[in-house]
Amino acid sequence: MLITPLSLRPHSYWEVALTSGRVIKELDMVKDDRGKRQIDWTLDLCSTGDLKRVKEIRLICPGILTHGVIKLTESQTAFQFKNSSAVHDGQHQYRILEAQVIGRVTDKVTGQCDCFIWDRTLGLFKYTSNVMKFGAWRQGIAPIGELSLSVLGLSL
Amino acid sequence: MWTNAITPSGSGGAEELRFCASGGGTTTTPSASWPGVQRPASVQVIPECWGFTTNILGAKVNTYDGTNASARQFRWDFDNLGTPVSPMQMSAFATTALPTPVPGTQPSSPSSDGSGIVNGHATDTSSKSYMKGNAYGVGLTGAGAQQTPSAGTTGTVTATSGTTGSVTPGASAWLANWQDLQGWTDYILSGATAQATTAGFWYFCLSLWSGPNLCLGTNIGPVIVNQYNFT
Repeated sequence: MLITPLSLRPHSYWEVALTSGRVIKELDMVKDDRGKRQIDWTLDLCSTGDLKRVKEIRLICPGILTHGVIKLTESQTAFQFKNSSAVHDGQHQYRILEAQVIGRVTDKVTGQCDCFIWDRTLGLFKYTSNVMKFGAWRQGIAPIGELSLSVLGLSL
Repeated sequence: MWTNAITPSGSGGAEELRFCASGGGTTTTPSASWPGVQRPASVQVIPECWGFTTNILGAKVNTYDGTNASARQFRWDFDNLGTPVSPMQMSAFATTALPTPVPGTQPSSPSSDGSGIVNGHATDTSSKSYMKGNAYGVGLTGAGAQQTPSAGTTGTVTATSGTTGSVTPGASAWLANWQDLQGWTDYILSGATAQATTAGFWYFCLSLWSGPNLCLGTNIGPVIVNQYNFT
């Protein structure tokens, strides 16, 4: 666990530390042909090769002092994603960010992974699953199934 | 022609899907005055669906009649800002808390949430949800190809339609048999992860049923959910 100043943001975000010492945050802004935008895991970490240099991935959580930290023992085993619901209740329609997940593949043969999850109802907790058949950690979350290894930049 | 979009952040009768008996709806009926549907003596579809962008401005979904007769009823419309990491999935729930359904269990009347519809009833629906759904293909493929249905029929749907677990439409095809939308117990799973940062649609149809054992109540419509994972 990492103890840092309290994050005042309403949502969690990921942060990676590279072997060079550089730290990249999900909040960082980049520029492309569409203008300025928030950094993206696939477009900016995977495509630039920075993902191979990640030595640590963190999940900075809102409103609490401790965050999720995973140190990597092998290159290209870190990943993250977010789970959202687009909900129409007959009267209103809105999107709900259900959770954010950071993880490390611990067995490249089976796909088993160890994760930290920030969930909007459960808070921060550890979770073990499989990138080939990612599970559902509470009611209201659909079994996620197979994650796209290429999108996440995983090399198994 | 797709002329109406129901978008997030509606309130006070805006951004609603409303169902009614034949001839029951108008384009300007306020939400609070929307006509109730009499519980039938035998299971049958609720034949009209209307979409309202404001409390008093709506349009009938002309391709919806509760049967499988017409495609091109609804579609999920996603923008070009996200990078999906897995296929998306859709279903219906009792409330926005997305509780796990209890198949066959009806709440006490009058109810005020969608649990009656979502849970179904043993006699009316073989404990499948009263809300049935069908979806076309994968929506947007991983290579960025949009799968769009032609007009026409869309598989077989009855009051007892539904398969336990998830069902996945084939590429550029409807499900041969409609799925019941019963939380993450019975739901529809797309067959592919959509291409990153590419706008697209996932087309779907609905069929809402009623029956003599469905609970009574107001605002008992279920929550329709599309759940997705992205970077």
